[in-house]
Amino acid sequence: MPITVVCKCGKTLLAKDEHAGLEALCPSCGKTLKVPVPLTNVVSGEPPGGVTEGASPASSFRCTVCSGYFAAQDVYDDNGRIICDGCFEKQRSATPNYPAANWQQPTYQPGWQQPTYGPAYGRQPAGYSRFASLPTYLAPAILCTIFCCQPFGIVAIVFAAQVNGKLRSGDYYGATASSDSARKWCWASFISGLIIIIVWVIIVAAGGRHDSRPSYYYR
Amino acid sequence: MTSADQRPSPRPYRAAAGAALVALVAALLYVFPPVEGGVYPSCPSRLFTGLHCPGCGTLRGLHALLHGDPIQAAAFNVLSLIALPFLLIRGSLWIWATAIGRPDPSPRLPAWMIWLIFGAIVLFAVLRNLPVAPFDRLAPHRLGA
Repeated sequence: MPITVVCKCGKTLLAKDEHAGLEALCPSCGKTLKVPVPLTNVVSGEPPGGVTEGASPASSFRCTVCSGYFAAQDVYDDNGRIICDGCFEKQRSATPNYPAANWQQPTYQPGWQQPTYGPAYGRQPAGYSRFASLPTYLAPAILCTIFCCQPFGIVAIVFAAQVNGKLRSGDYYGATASSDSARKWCWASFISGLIIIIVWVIIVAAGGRHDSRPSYYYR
Repeated sequence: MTSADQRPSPRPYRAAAGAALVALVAALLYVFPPVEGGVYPSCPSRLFTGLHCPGCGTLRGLHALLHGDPIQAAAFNVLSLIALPFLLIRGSLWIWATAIGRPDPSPRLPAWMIWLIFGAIVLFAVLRNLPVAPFDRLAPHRLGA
């Protein structure tokens, strides 16, 4: 299953599986672009048991609409996104004037090539709309940073910026991974803050340190 | 492409829990002043490093604000005072959207704007720890004392 890459110049290209994560030159505009790693390797790791019977983790992809897992040969991606067969059909039938079955699997040949898609169905907007609700977790990150005294929150803000930057450049895999990281850092910040407060309360309750508040309280 | 099956389902309990949490925090902050001998623990990073982190003074600032003193709130932590209306609007939108089952209506900020926020927080953290004349006013301080 070749990996579909959309260059910033708008060209859709196909890359070999073994080139995942490497950089390549776009034959159209000559700029360097990165071949994305399929989503399972970046974000979700192994699919949870019971979702896809018989599919090995390496050959499983995660649908960006229904979050279900499916085998790699069922991937339909246009703008570097992954969607399962069922969700594609659902969206197609829900949209009037949707081009009927004019897409097909790209036929793979070695090296870069033009994919043999049929007429494009809503190129950038369609690809973007599926990620329009990808959360950045910016508000909780700021909340953690300046309302809870937590330095981990600042890391989450960096990831929040990455989410929107990568969405803008069409790197939907990377944006999903950054969104995931932002969520994790928010939780790390919140939980570590909670633990510190609980430990502190225990120390104070155990006696002794009641007068340890720094002098700025008295200013 | 806004088909019905893409709409999140309404979660009124979750929204109510969020609103109740905000109200609870506000009530606690209104009743208990963050001062010596109070109910809140001292900020550990302040205690161990001796530095003012970008969040230092927020609790005291919010307490002052709830008692109708925004000037004093700015003296404690001006950044949290600036951020507060944005977070309140953002939070209200989330509560509303969650309650009736809409996708989050908040606008997606461009990446440079988030980097700007990041830079502002880092700059604020550095400046308020400088012991030089104009910048030490950024450190938490009580007015008229």
